[in-house]
Amino acid sequence: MATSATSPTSPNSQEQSTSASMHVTPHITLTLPRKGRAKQLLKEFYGLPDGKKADPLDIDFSAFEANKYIDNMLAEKHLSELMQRDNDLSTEIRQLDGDMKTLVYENYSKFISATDTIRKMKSNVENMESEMDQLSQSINNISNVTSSVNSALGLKRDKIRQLTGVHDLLKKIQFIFELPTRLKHCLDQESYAQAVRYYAKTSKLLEHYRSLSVFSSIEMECKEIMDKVTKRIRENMTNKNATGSEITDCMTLLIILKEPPQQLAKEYLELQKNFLTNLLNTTIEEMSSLSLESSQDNQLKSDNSDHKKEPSSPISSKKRAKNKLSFLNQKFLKELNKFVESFNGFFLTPPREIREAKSPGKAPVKSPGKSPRSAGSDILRVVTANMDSDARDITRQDFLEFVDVIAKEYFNIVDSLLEFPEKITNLNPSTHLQLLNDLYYATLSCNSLCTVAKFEDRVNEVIAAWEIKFAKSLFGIAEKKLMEKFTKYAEKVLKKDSETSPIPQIQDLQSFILDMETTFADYLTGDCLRLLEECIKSETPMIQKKGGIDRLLKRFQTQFKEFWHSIAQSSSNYVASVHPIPITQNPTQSPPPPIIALMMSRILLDFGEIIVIQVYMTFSNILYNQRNNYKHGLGVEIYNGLGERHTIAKELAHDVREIVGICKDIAQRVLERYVEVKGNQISSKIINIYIPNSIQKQDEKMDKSSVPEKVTPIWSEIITDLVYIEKEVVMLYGGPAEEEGNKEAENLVEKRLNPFLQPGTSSNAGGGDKSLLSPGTALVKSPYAHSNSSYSSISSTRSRTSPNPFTSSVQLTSHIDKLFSDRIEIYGIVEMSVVGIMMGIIKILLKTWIEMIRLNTLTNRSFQQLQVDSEYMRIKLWRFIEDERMMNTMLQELASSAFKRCAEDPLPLVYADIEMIVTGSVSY
Amino acid sequence: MVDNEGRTCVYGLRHQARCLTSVVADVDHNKFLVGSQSLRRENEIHLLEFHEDEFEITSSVFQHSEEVWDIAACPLQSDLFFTCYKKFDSNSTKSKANLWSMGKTISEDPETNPQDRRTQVATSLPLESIFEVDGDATIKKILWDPKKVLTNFVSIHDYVLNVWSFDDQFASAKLLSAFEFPSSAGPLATGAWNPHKPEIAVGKDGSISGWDIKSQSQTFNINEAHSILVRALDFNPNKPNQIASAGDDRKVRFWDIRNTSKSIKEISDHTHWIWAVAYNRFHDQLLLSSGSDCQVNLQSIVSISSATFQYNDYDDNKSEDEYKEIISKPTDGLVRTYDQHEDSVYSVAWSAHDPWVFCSLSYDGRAVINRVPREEKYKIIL
Repeated sequence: MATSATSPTSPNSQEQSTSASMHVTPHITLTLPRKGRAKQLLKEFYGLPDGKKADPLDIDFSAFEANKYIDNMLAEKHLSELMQRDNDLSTEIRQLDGDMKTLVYENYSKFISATDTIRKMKSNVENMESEMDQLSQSINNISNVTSSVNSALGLKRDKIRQLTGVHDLLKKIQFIFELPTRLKHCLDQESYAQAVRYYAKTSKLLEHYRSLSVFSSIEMECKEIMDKVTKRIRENMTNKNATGSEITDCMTLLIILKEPPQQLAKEYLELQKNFLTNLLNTTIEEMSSLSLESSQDNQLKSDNSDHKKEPSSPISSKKRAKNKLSFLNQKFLKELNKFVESFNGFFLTPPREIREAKSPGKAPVKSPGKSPRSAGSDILRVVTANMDSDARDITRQDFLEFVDVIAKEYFNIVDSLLEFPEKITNLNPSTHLQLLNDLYYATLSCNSLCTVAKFEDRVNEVIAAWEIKFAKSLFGIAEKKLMEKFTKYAEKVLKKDSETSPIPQIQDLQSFILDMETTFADYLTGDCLRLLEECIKSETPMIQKKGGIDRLLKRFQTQFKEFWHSIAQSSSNYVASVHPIPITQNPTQSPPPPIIALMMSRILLDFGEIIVIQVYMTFSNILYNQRNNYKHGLGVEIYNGLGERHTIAKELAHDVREIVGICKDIAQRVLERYVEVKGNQISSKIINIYIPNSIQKQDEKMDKSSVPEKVTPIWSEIITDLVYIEKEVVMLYGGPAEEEGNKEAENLVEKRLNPFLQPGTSSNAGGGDKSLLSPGTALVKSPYAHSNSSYSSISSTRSRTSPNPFTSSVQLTSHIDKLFSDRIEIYGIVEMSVVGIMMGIIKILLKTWIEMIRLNTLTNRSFQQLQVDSEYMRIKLWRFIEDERMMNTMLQELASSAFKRCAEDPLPLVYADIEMIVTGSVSY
Repeated sequence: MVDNEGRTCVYGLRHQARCLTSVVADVDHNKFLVGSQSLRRENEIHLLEFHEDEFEITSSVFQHSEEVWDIAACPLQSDLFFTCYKKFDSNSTKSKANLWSMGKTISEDPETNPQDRRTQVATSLPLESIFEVDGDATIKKILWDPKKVLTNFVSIHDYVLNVWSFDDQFASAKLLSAFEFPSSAGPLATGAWNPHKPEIAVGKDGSISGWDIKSQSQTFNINEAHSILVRALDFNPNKPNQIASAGDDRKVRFWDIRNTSKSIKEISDHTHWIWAVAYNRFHDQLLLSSGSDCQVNLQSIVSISSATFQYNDYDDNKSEDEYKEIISKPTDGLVRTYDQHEDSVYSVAWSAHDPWVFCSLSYDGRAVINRVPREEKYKIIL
């Protein structure tokens, strides 16, 4: 038992044994918890000191004492327990025994295989040793041989090297000696490139050995020839017929010949300028002839075929434009690019390496027959003129100036290709886009143009300009049509006014406006949207590339917004008054009739409430929908004037809100303008009859004691006008016409509020109190001191300072009302309803009346006339307004003003008389 | 001292009143003349004086039997003024004008205690008539020469503009020349004398025209300057060639009379006809306008005033003083609306003494004295 506990076993086998013991002897596990036991066993295996205090009674410990254990057992356990323990122990012992046997067998077989391996190794190593010896011997031999060969050849090698050097030198000298003849030959053969190449190769050498007379003479000779060459090259270059590449090649040579670079740059620029301008001109000519040809072709075709084919001509013209562009790009843009590239290489980039002298030599020798162009392009990249940075800057500036000019001309031609048809709706935007696309990629392919002359930006500008122009003209038509309709209608109205009765047809107004709105909306959501969609869906790579559509939509959106702004602006401008009227203006040209303002306000209101949202929604559905699919752009909900909900692309929501606000705002302002104009029109009638002093003149004619017999005819005219205005307004601002019957009935009840009647009625009620009839005297009597107070005491002062002609209680309360009620704003904000509009006009009218009365001096008779007139107006105005308080306040004001402006002591008519006159007039 | 900022001084006449002028000749006091307008009672001329320290108004009352439609104080002698009035005969009204003297009695005794003045009983003093202006019975406005030379004056009638010259004794006037206007259209409504040259601007219907009284020729014409009627005109006192006009279209417009094809500025802050405009005589960036919407508006028009350059200079050396940064530069716009009136405000006038004091008069006889808000004042003077 003790042996099994202390025997060193591998933890692995122990593990196995524990797992095995789970089945066979479960009791053994009782002695220690499983984990702890494994730990314990490991500790034992590695000979670590036991952390636990040795317990002589624990059977699994080294300190186990069998005798003590037995004694202990005997002392403590019953017989049956002892028996049980004995059985357990014997089972455990058997188990441990078996485990040990397995262990021993396993280790034994491993040992045997190890022995085998060692034996095999031993036999192998023995062979290896002899082979290694052989190898080292062979290597020794080789090294010996090599060193002997090396020493044998060493002397000769130096000689050869020397000789080769001499040979090279001789060759070079030979070349130099031959150089003049060669150069001459080249000169004769006109292969200047070759000459330059030779010269460039040797010039340094010659320079180096200039001190030797032989060389210097050669140098002189060469120089002479090269001067000639240079001259010839220059001649070639300045030749009128020289092409751009020829010029460039010549320039390359001259640079290699170290001509003064700044001057060269200038020359080069000048030459290329001439060349390119000529080229451009000829290209334009050729282009026009191209179009002629193709149109001739078309004509021929159309001559051959039926006339029905003619509608296809716009498409062919588009094709022609495309051909033209590619022709232009081919002919001109490429040349320009080449020039820019070479110029940049020559003069604008600082020399990277001093390879330039060597490089021509490296270039493959060209046969004189070959075109010098290819030779030029070969060495082009490395040829750079030596210039200091200041000179370079100057050159760069000149160069950029030139490129600017030429680029402008180029883009002008491009623009001319992008002309819009007269009717924009006939335009096929995709062809234009195709054209722009071609342009875009043509320029992108011209690297130098893009990097040096920023051609890409320029092209982008052209594209943006086209897009903006396109959107502008597209939307502009809608505005133009709208304004045209207004103008036409205005003309019609004016004509009718001058020709026949002042009542033109207003019945068709509603349908007219509806029609206007639908055509407007239809155009936007129809033709307009169709073309925009075509742009967006255009398959040109320019649009389809990343961000292309976004950019396009953004531009359209901005233009669309501007379009609404512009509509609002031109609407409000259209109805605004002009001050001062220019002298040059045709005096017969009358301002737009006020009805236009009313119509405009209605239309703008409809825009604000419905149409803007509708149009934007359609736009958003068609233009933004596809994008939202992949962009997760969630719509924003917007409510229109009818409370309907619309979902609109997020990008547009802000615009919509802004424009709706603007439309409503302008509608309001335009409506106010209408009210102002109408109010002024009617007021002018009042002003005309109340020109200061005119009343007295009228009175003079009358019998002084006579009593007014009827209402002044102007008032019934004014009422007729108002009725007509109301009709107009009702047509556009809806609302059922008031039932007059009801109102008239109420009138009777309200009549007693008429301030003019007040003195009469109250005098009756007050038993003829004199002071009521002549408030002036009452005022003089009243305790009154000059008020000298700060504003805080104003309310108390006020009642004293404003002499109140009517002191009846009704009057008093209404005055108190006035004190607390808001000021009446005459030309104020007009409520957008029939009543609001009418009220606005009536306010203007009444206020004018008051002010005019104040400027006049009344007689007793005209005061009475005013009583009658005011009563008449009160009855008549009633039907137009809802809240009579304001009207009554103003009529009161009128009464008090009239009272004060009466030069005689006024003798107001009694109500019955007034009623009689008024009803007489009404029926009349 | 009590801070009177924002306070208002109110004076009530017993009568309706339409016309108001500041006593231009007395630059030591804030004095105003108000003429009353009642048909069935004796009228009065009130000479108001505003005392800033006590913040109160004292007045002297003069008898004037007819209702006063216009009043014009002499720019040189503080006791002289013209009134235009309507005489109501049994059957017809005649508009006349008269030059009056208040006499020397009213010159303030500096010793007088303000307490005494307040308790002083308002007695109607007599006016000394100097002469009545001849001419037709439609005279409506008298203009003094703003250059403070007492040789000429101008009277505006319905359809004629008369230039008069005083005689040596100042006791009568002689008609020098007359400008006739066609009576087919409306009568002349208002007029103003250009302080920079002998030029009169008159408003007739919607148009404004200028007349050189020396050469007797028309200098400018603004057709349809306002859509209905021009009711008020005032020349900029510091900047030649600039005139402000206002009328029934509720707009104040500013014109350069050398080029009248377009107004240089337009203000529309009133809600009914504008009856009066007045440039501040010292700081022409301030303009008062009043109208039948019962409001008085104080406008800042610095951008077109003679002070524009001054502020541009400040821009160059910004770092000058820190407090200048705090007090922002004046900008265009409505400075304040004074709505203490309950009735139409037919006239408004700046004080001749204190450039920040002005008076407005409404039809109900209330004269209100206000001052430019301190904040705006500092903006201008600092």
